[in-house]
Amino acid sequence: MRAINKMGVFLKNQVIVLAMCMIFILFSLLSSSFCQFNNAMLILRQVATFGVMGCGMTLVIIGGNFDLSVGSLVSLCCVVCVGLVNVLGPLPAMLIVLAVGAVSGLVSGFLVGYLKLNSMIVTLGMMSVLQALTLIVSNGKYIPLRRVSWFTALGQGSIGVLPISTIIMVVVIVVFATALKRTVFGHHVLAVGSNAETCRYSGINDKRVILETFVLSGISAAIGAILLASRDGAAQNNMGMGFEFDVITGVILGGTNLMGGSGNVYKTFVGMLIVAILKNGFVVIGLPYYSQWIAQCFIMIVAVWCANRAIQRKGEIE
Amino acid sequence: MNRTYINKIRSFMATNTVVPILIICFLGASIFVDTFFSMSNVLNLLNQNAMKGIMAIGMTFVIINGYFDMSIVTLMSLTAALSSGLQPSLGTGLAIVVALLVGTAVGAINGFLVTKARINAFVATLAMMLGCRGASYIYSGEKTIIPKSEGFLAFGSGTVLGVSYISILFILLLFVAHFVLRYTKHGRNTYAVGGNARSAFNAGIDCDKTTFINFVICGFTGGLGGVLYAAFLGAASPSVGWPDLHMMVIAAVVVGGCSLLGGIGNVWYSLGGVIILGMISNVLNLLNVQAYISTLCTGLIIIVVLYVDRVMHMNRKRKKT
Repeated sequence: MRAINKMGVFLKNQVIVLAMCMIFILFSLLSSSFCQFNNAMLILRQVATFGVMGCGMTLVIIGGNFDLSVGSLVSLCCVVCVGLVNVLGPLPAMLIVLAVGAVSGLVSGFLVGYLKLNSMIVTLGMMSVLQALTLIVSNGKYIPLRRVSWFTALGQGSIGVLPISTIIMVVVIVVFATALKRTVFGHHVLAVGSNAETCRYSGINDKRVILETFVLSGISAAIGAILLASRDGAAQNNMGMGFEFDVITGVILGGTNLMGGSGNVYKTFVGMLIVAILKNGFVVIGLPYYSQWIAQCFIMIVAVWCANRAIQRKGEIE
Repeated sequence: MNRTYINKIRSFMATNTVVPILIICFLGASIFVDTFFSMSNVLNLLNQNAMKGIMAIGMTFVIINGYFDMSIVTLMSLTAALSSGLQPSLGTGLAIVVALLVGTAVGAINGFLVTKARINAFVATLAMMLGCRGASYIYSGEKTIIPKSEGFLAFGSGTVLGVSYISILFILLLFVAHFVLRYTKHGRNTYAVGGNARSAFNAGIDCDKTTFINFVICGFTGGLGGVLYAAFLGAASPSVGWPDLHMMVIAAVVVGGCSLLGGIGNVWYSLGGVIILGMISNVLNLLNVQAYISTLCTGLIIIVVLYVDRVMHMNRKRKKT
């Protein structure tokens, strides 16, 4: 009996994984070309950027804020990355891109953490600023990758059967998940997200923690941008447009509390996978790509509704 | 006597931070940009921002209520497409009615999801944003739809003494919204629920009903914004306003001084916010600044205004205590 109960609790906690499996099976039934090895690898490649970005966003949302600037940051980082790879070679270019991401995160983190401005509006402002910087840097032009180097392998190559970008994504996810679960920093983020006031009284520097979450979000967006630029072998100035909504959708599907205070990096990844499967699946079964938005809409509402009811029931039992 | 008068002005300025910010922006623009301070340009400023303003009115209700609506702009693109695409089959009047009904229905769905299903307003309206966006792409088949009716287009581009019909509608709606917020039971309930939902509930206010109505109002203004948009531009494309116009509407309301936490604000603040953001882009246009520098400045100014607003609020709090 107890085993069954335990099993039930476990399944309840993994609803999102079950949902993902169901969506996967549904698409497999609808189209024979969906459930194939190549397509699965394609989905993994496609999800790499979002999976990495989701890690940073999860931390920001757990800290009780939003970062709407990541989409524009990806555009900027892609343009800078491809431009610099052409000039300096891959390694220095990638380091500079990471620095760009960190600086952008630092600015919004400072505004939100230290000046206590509303994160949504601040990052909206940053979104405009970064879009403009992208256009200034790229001069509005499309930048192709001119130099042949190992840089393209990051997004296009694979080790054995696994794409390299997927491996990088998994490493990033494991690092972020461990940081959140097992380090002092992670516990501070969770604490600040659930109650910043209490944290301040117990000696946690809440401003700095929030700043750090934004810096990490910036860095994760930069890593995502590197993978994306390397996969596409070129950069456009509207590459990351609207990414922030996909990433936030994934984080929400992963069950992170939007008020802050709880969340899980692995589940965010599952949420991102759902978004990616929908994107891919709708194209594979021959529906226009924009029908995925309607599906996303329903899945988001249903997922959050179920989560809410589970929480309510838990409250009643207690 | 004189001193109390000055004090009164000072406290008015401190409470309504949008007024000094607006005055500074306006004076700065008038002094530094020759072509700014002319009747035609100021009217132009009003006419260009009237549709954004109408949506900001609906957003004001929801924000005072303590929530916000992300779906308003994709809803706008959906109703713009519907009101122009249905004209040949249903006739202009009916097409507009259908578009407005769709707007209201989406608002009602948002309200239902937030109040009855208890879904976080950000998630619910984000989901509806995606839904409306998908619906508008599916309906228009990724094409720009041109409204055929001449009366419809004439309404969108017509003016009286330089003020467009849309602006007149906007001003009328401002007064209606002001009246509703200030003198009706629903308006007072909105402030109460936004200020403190629990105590409002304990005082016997039907919080769910108030929130629901406010989302419906917001949906309606979104629908109206779409119809007017189609009439104003003479075209409806599904990608209009994506990805940042709805954030601009929220930003206008917040820059105007309505608190995102709810309970504080009025429609005049939102008007101020809309005008400030409109003025920025207008001035940068007049200065012949490249479009991307103007985006850059808009972003920076949003942040600066938010900071100034915060500092002024802090000062006021310090004085009180």
